[in-house]
Amino acid sequence: MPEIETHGLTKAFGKLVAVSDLNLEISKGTIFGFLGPNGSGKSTTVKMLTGLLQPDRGNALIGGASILTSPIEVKKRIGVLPEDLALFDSVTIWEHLIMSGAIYELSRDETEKRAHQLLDYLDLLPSRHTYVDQASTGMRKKCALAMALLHNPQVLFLDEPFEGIDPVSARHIKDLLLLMAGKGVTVFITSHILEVIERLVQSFAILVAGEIVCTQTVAETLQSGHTLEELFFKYVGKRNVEALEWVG
Amino acid sequence: MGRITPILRCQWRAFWRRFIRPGTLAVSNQGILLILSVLALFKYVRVLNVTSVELSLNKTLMLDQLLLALFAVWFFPLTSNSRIAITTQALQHFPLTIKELFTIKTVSRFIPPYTWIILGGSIALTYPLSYAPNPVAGILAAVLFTATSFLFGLTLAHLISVAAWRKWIFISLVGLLISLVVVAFHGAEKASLNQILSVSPTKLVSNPALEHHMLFSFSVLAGLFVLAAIAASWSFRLDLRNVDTGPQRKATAFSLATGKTGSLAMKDLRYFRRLLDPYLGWLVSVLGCLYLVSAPQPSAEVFWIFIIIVFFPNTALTFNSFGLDSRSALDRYILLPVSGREVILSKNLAFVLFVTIQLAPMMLLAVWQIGIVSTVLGIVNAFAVALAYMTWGNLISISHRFKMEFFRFASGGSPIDVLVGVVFGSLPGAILMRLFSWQSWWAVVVVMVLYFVMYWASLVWSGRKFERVRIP
Repeated sequence: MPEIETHGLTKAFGKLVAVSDLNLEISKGTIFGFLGPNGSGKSTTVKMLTGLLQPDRGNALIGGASILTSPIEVKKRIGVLPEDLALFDSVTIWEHLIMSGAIYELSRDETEKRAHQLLDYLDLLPSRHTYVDQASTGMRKKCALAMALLHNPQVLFLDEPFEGIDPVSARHIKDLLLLMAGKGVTVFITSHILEVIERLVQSFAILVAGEIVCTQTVAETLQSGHTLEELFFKYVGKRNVEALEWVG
Repeated sequence: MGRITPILRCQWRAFWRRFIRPGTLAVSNQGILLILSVLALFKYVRVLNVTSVELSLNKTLMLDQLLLALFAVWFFPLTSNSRIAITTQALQHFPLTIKELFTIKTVSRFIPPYTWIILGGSIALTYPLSYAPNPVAGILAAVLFTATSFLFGLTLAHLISVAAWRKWIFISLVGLLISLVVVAFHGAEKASLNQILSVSPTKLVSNPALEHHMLFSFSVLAGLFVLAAIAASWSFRLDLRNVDTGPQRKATAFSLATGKTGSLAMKDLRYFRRLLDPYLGWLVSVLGCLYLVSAPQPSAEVFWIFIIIVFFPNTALTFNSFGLDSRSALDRYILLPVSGREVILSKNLAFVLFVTIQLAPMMLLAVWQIGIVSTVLGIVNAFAVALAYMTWGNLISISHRFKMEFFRFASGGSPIDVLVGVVFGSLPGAILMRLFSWQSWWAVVVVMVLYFVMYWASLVWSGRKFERVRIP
């Protein structure tokens, strides 16, 4: 049974159809890349899968639980690094994790142990008592990531996890994701950094104007003699830079 | 000016787009507010007429009171959320001088219509002053006084954004309050409003209008104006340079919280401490304590009234309970595996905890001064009022969210909603006071059950709505 399934998932904002009739099946323990240009509907899809947006049509099942009928059950199973990080102002990094632990019903000792280990791994331990609104973008992102990981979710949704992250931490995060996938956690990543996606994911989909235009495994892409970047531009198209002749 | 104008134009458009967006006058009771504003205007015109008659008879009590009120209202819009689109911090990316940034910030304060109303009210003072023995001197002094009030408010708004200054302002206010209380309760003669006004800066306007102490009044007013201008400019630079790194908060109240609602409530408790309005609740509580300590025979009824009044400045905490949460934070509530009811319950829990802390000193003193029975009845009264406030708050805070800022006066939402909420919230307090005096204990139980049922219904309804519809 797939860990993530979507059936005809559709979302429109007025006349703009952000996501149209999305059908996906992602099996357990897979790192799945969800690619597309800005405004293609990637974040809208993640928002629907994580409960931030109600789909207009269709349904999605996470670990067999429907996002429409069992939203709390789904939220218990998933960890999310959302696009805007969704952090509380005037609350420290450490307090965010303590709060998360209580909400996911972890014991205080277990929460503190996991929080300490995660922050240490993400190189965030020395700055754990900083308010998130006074932390750097990278620190905020790592805090949101630690919150997503704290309760050891079955499925991880990561929206642009490597943006604003230093190379050392990015490497640590990649190692961690590979470890988790090896243990059966399904990871759903959206990213613009194609090189990273190419090295990290097993399969991917390219979304253009709310519709999936390509779904395949990285192995299939490489076998066809293309890079992921070439395939991406084939579907997305490329602008002519010479029009900006006045620049410089 | 060429660089400033496009930014101000952008601020203007952004403000009015937001203002007009709701579409109709029915939204946020803007139509009713308009009617009330017109009624207030008629009242103000009548007060101005009385003031002009007084001034023609060389009396200045009404003028002094009006000036004092204007001084206070010039302070309030500056410390409340101005909802300006582009902050000065964000403008620092542009090649603008400090002077230009200061000009933008100052002029932007005049974009919201309530500033026009206050400005209009200030200009209208020229009407009664024209009946004074020396109208020109009076009007000139009033202009200087108004400008000084504005600059003073601006300075305070800047300083309150800086952590170190916040402490000093707080300490100064506490010192001032204690001094006033000492003067009011233990002075040789109890100070009347007239006596206080006789030494207030408003005399710097009314004296020249009556051709008294002209040179002295204008010298002091001009000095105050220059000082306020320098202070506003200096505090603006201070605010601009201020990078609030905040305390390294190692000992945290979050460790004390248990469960889903408890940990979320801890966050809101911290937020509440960072609003200015609840400090007025503390003030009421202190006054209640002073009453219990100093009155020869403290009355239980007055004690219960103090309990009801403590809730007034805390309206925003429950009537606009999502006002301090950013859009991003609202997303976090949805991502967490908590039901809408649990989210609302955490807000209510934080409100109850906060008001309990405010009421606790008064309750403890009441046990000693008016006995345990009256104190227990006071607790019952407070509980009923809290239930009513939360009932109303749950219903309206889920429908409208008015963005609030830390260290500013809060917005409890539409003034009409707040007024209706305060009446609805205080009603059980008034009913219970009457029932206590009649000793109708069964009726007390019925009222408590009724308000608890209403609260529960509001919790269930707003919890469901939170899950279905995103808060605007």
